[in-house]
Amino acid sequence: MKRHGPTWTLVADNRAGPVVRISPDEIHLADPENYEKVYYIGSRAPSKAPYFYDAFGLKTAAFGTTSNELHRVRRAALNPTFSRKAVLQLEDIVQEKTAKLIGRIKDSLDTGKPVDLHHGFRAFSVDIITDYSFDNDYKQLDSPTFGSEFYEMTSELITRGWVLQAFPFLLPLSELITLPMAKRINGALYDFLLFREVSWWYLCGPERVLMTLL
Amino acid sequence: MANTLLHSPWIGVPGTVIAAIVICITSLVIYRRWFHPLAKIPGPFWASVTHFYIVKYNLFSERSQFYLQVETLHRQYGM
Repeated sequence: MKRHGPTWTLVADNRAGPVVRISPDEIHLADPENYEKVYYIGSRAPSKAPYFYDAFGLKTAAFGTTSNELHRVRRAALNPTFSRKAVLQLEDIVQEKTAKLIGRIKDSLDTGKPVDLHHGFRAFSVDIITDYSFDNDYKQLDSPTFGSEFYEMTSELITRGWVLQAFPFLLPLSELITLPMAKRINGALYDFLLFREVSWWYLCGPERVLMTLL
Repeated sequence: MANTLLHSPWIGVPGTVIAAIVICITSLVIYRRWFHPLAKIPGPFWASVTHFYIVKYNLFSERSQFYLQVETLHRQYGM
């Protein structure tokens, strides 16, 4: 009770609005505005739930860091990238991709073909994020299918996330899966692991990748 | 006769193990449902005692659809 002080008091006083218990230690607030009453800058509310985030296999990333204190430290390294000045500089990238997307839509309309906006908007986000974060534009806006294979891959892997959340003991086992094994098990998993290796290659240089492959 | 059966390791050992598991689960359920800090928050019984309530909807429904169930729960337990 004491450890989770602020959250429980809010709920007990009914200040958090309508609430439902969705698991032994999780509640769901009906009104998203009440989220801010629990989680604000400097809030002492409980940290992220490890069972939820561990399944992503990103324990050392800011996203997968569940301890509030540690997250603050790791997130601080990213702060300059999201400062007002940095975001304003991002405008050129956004404008460039917007022009590309509009161009694609116009081309399709001119030839009287339908436009796949669902994948179009996703490609738009992916291109902006990869260009800005990795300086490595994935150029999905140039692909005829708007890079829908990439989208199919990620959505197929969601199930993997649910399974690992439900059965965390499978996590270390899933990390033992090598590329040739993945090729025989599941196409999306193979694409994902390959994508991860290529990203490592791009970020750390070939030496790091050769080390994991050998 | 019953006494000798109970003292035989073939019955006694698995019996003790099963009893321990049953006691463990029962006490966990009782704690989570009636003594946990969240015990007073409304919600379905199975959700209050096990995480597999969410798993059931995310893994064994059409496509990761616990969020739809949450909406139903709010309609049922408080909007």
